[in-house]
Amino acid sequence: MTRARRHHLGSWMATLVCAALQAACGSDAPQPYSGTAYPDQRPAYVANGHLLGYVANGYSDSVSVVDLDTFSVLGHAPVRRDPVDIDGPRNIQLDPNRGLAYVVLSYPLSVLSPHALEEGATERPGYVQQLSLSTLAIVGEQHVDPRVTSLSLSPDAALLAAAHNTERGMLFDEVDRRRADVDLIAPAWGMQDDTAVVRRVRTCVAPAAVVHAGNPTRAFVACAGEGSIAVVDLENAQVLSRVRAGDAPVVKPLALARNPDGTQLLVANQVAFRVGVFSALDTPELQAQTTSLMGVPFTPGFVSATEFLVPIQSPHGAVLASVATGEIILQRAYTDDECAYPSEVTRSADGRVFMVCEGNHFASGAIVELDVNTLDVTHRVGVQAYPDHLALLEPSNN
Amino acid sequence: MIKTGAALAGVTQRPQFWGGQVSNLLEAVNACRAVFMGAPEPLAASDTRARDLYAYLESLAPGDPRAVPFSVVREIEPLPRGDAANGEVTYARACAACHGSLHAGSGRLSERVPILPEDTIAEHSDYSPRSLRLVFTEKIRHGGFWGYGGDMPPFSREIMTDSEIADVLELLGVFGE
Repeated sequence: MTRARRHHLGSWMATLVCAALQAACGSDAPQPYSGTAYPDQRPAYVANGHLLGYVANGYSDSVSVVDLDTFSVLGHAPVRRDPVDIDGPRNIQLDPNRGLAYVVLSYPLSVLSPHALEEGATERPGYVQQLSLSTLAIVGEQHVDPRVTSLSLSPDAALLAAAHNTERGMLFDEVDRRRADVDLIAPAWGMQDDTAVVRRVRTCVAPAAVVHAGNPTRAFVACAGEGSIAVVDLENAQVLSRVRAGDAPVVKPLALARNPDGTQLLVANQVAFRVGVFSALDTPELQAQTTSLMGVPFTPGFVSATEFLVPIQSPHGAVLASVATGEIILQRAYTDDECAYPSEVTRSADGRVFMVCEGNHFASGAIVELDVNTLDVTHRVGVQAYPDHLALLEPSNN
Repeated sequence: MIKTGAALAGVTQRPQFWGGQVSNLLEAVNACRAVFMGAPEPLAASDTRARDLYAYLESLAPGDPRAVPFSVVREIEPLPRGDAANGEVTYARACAACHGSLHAGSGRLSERVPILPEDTIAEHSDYSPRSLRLVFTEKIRHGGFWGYGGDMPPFSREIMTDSEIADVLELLGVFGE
């Protein structure tokens, strides 16, 4: 090849490269992405006028949505902050008017790894997450104290109370120094734009459960660590009273429920195997209580104005009792296939009664419907591992 | 090469991530940014950087749009003794890209990445041999999660077997005795 011909070829190639560069970097430079980025591929849960149940699965990091008219699973939505750890969603509360749900993340196993045990790890803080009710997508969150186990939403859905089954300074003799907080979050919906404010009320030792009263300015707390029921003034963020949670020799209230109008409380004492009926007043009074039950009582529920139902474990069963006297009316044991480890009773607006069956915490748990006249299981739907709480979305709200 | 994560091609079509623990790609992106990259704030879907990233990920299509299994081994159990020769192969495929060469760390990602096994043993000098072996196992299985800290990703059951981990521990001389 001659020098002249090489020069000609070189000029031609240079022209070609310049043209290519111009095509790449000039008029055809990358344009801003015009498509829909990150389309939400989560399914929306549609009620179709049915009663829906939202179940927090503590060891699956999910919320199951179940149709309680057809006893079918609409889906299991992951809820968590951490894609690897067990976040431990427990209680879930619904605000259908705003299309929101709230779930607590309890981090139940945060100190059980070999590294954590060697390092003397402390408990991991908890979170309350705000979810879209339709897709259960996370829309906001609030950091709270460790071991958050119970959540209650006020009747106007403005205030969340979160209880933590823990105690501070457990080596102190003075009970006041061992008392843990109940966190008050308001406005609840403000988590998504950081307008929610948290007030902490030093309440009692191991406040294990919390429910709102009929009076919107009051909440009741089961104080497992000091055997009492605490009454919290929600306006002034202070404890109004603590009363002994029953007259058994050892009192350890771990579960709490209210009647529909918020005038009475059920308090489950797991050590004494009893459930007490209390007035929901600023100084609650014991009105009736069961005799010793055949198993350990968990979260009971009113099934009518005159009767309440108690789920029990060891053995698995349920006990129907009188609100007026505490007298046992009917009791029933369940096989593992019917309901393993019953843990919570919930009544729908149309009078149906449901029970959460925790299962063995490794395999799937279930939600069952009971015939209150016989306590037979009439319907059953499986959820995921360690279901802890059932919240109902009534047909009138969907 | 053994990588802990899934191939990105097809990621925009996948229905879930992290073995089903995340059901939205942006949440998965933000988890990676927070855990491994130290990002202080999550990206919003409308953020230009998020949209640019999505455009890039979409350009990798079709790839594999199926969900990728990712089973976290939660319970850390003592493993039986392994084979150091096999461990050398696994180390080269799974560990060396970040930790560099054994004992020297040459070629490691950064000064923050510990030289294996010396730095990690020194960091846990007061541990019993049994606990030290458990902690090495835990670090491989849990990475920076389960309260451990650091930037290491977890190796799922699908990515690495217990036998392969036992082989690496044999190579590292972390016998538990």
